This record gives sequence, structure tokens and C-alpha cells, in this order.
Amino acid sequence: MLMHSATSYADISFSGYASITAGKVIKGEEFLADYPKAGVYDSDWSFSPDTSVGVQLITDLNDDLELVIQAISNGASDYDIDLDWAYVNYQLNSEFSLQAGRKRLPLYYYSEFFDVGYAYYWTRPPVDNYTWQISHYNGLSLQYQPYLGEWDALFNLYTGREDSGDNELLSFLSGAPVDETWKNMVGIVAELSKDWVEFRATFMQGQLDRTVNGIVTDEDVKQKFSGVSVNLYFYDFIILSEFNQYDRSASDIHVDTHMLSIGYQLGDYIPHITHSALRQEENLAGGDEDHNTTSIGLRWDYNKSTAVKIQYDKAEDKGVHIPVLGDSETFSLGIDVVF
Amino acid sequence: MLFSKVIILKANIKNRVFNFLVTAILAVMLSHVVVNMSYAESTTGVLVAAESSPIQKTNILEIRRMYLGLPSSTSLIKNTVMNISDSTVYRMFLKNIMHMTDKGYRRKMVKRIFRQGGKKVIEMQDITELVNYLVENPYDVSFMSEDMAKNTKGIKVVQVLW
Repeated sequence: MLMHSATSYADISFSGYASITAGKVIKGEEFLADYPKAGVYDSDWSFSPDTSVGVQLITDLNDDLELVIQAISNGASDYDIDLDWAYVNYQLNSEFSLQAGRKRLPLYYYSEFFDVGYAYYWTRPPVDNYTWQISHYNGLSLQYQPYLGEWDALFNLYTGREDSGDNELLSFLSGAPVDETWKNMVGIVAELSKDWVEFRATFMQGQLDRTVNGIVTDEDVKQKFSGVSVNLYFYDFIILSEFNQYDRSASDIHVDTHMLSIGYQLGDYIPHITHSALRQEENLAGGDEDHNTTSIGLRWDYNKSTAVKIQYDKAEDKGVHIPVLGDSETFSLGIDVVF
Repeated sequence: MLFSKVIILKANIKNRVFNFLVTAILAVMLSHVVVNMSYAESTTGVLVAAESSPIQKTNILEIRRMYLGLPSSTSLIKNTVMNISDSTVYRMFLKNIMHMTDKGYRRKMVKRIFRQGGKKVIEMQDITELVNYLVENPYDVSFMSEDMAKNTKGIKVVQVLW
């Protein structure tokens, strides 16, 4: 339950979430359901790609300082326990706060709560839109949440780096161990929302180092990411959208991703349909990537902390030089809880 | 001839029964709406705290921020407690103070907790449990109808909310 019945004792607060999902490919061979962690469904039933459990602990160190830790175990990562968050938060005043430590990288709209299935109506965020290989960073962030009456705003300025040895996605796709570093990252996220509408804009730039099978292939390569999201909750209609661009000009890589989803609130049920796509034009090195997924699903809010979901995904892989996993049709069903 | 008259008569009776049922259902629905609206419009909501609490009147925007799990700049309030014992008062609080629906509020809170590491807002379903909690925690506040607050011992009205 999001709100609780006095389960916050003294100055320690616990929260958590779990998603238990099973799925299988019903047509085709494989479906890459979770790009960041390389979670793949095949023709056998599997719980691994979309199952995860997370626990969050917040403890006050003094009136203005708190420690925030979130540990997570994902089926796609062989149920290893990883630290999603480990940072201290210093409340400078009622509007400004400063965080130092490890956090999730806030590139996309759902990046920071990608594994919290209860927070969205799909089994997973639309796959073609969420194809980044770095999910976290170690560094600093400054957040500003001003008073705007009925509107809520959040501005997040952050900087940091992440070293990912044997990166799950890149090693999976290339078939060789890939070490990836994103460094000198500087980014900003701006959000404005009220009950029925949400706007979000995001921008990040930094540098990339990459080693494939022990050989340095990229060093100090500049990269840029930008994106916008608009979500509408109009009466019982829910319209979610996201458009992103990734540029690494030195490697002639330009990637566009987008997602558009429509849901309808029917009491405790939300039927929904979604289309997501990624397109990278063929570049000088002959690389291209072009895939899209259409999803149809149903979320049922069993109670205020539990949701049951079923989903059908039809993936189309049109990449000529870089096919991901081919065309597929996948069925999944699962349960999401927050506590 | 007689046969067709019987058919017409039956059709008229069917139509009348159908019209009666539709009218009755609409009347019942309308009366519910009117009763709920009149109760809702006549209910005054107040912020309450323990009788011994030092908490004074504060800005409504501060109260809204605290119910979103955000820090307050001026108030002595430590925790805000969501009173869900009366669904009408709860809905009116969300509408008048939070400016959102129940689903919108829950959507915002789950994102805040799992996106920014925000603390949960305490929720109480039982009015006796809520009053006992406030008495034991003089720096915490909640809301209820003015009538309920006036007839409940151990708590005081801090300010009128709507």
C-alpha cells in the first residue's frame, strides 16, 4: 500500500515492491523483454525476464540528513541482489535538496522506477523505448521542488559516472564481454504535473568508453540524450507518450525512440494498447537497428496495493545489419504489489 | 384484427414497464447524487491535532506539500495522517486541498516513493485509532469534518481547511 498504517517506526521508513511475472513466446523464437538486464523470453514458460523484488529503507541521520537505500533482486540478473540506490539526501531548505551517492539514471520517464511494475499498467515499460545499457550513476544531484499551487514541479540537475563491467545488454548482443563506462555525465530533468496532466523534458550529455573482449573500441566519445513525455489522464482515458533521441556523432550513431499508449479506466480494470519503436539509420559503419512492438494488455487492480496483468506483445524486427532477436509474439501474465 | 390489437397492447405495456424502470433507476441515481452533493457541500473540513499540540494555523500550500511527502518550511508539523475513515471527507480533502482524485493521488505517491525515495504518508481507517494516534503524537496532524472534531475528546481544531 502506498500509504500505510503506522509502519514507519521512529525515523526509519520501509517500502517495497514485487513483480512476479511468467511469459513465453508463442510465435517466433525469442523476445527481448528487458533490454537493460537482457531479460529474454523463449518458447518455454519463464519467470526470469520480468520478475523482481525491491526493498527501500530510509533512515533519518538528523533533521536535514537522511540515508536512502534500495536493494533489488531481478530474475533477469539471476536473482543477484544489487543496490539500486545508496545515497544521502541533504534537505537544504523546503524546496532544495542535494543527494550524493548511487542513484538510477533518470534518462527516460520510467527509468527511475523501471522495475516497479505496480507504478504502470504494462507488464514492463514499452521495450523499444527502453533500450539503454546504463541504468545507474554514482554522483551528485540537486533537486528543486518549488511551490506552485495546484501544480507540482521538479527540477533535477545531476552529474556523475558509471562503470559497468561485462555489461549485461552489450555483452548479450555482441556475444563477447563488453565493459562500458559513461563518464562526465551532466543532465537535467524538468517535470510539471497536476492531477490530469504530466510534462517531462530530459537532457543529458557525457562521454563514453568501451572495451570489447579486452580491446578498447571507444574512448572519450561524446554522447547526448534528450527526450520529452506528455501524459494525459482525461476522465477515464489515459494517454501516455514519450519521444527520445540519442546521438553519438563521432560514431555516426543517431537513434530515435518513441512510445504512444492509450488506456481506458473501467472501474478497477484498464485495457490498453501501446506502440513503441526504435530506429537507427544505417550509418558509415553499416550499422542499423529498426524494431517496434505493439502491445495489448489488461491491468486489474485487485486492491490498493496489488495489480494483476496480462499482456500480448507483437515484436517486429526490421534491422538489416543489426537484427536484435527477430519477429515474435509473446504472452505474459503477472502480479505486482507494493508494500 | 383482435390478434394484432393484443400484440400492440403487449408492446405498449412493455414500453411502459421499460420507461418506468428507466425512470425509477434514474430517480434513484439522481437522489443519491443530490444527497451526496448536499452532504458534501455542507461538510466543513478542519485540520486537527492533539489538544496538547503546539501546532498553530499554517498555510494550505504547506499542508498540501506535506501530504505529498515533501518537507515544510515553517510548520512544526512532523507527520500528516490521511484519514480514510469517512470516504466523503477523504474525497473532499483530495479535491479541495490536494486538487486531485484518489487515483491521481495514489499515482503521484507511488512515483514519489519509488522515484525519489519519499516516505509514506500514514493512513488511518479507524477514527478511534486516528484520535488515539494524534493524542500520542502531538506534532502530527490529520483532517476530519468539523462536526466530528467538535464531538471528539482529546483533539483540537487547528484551522478550517474548506
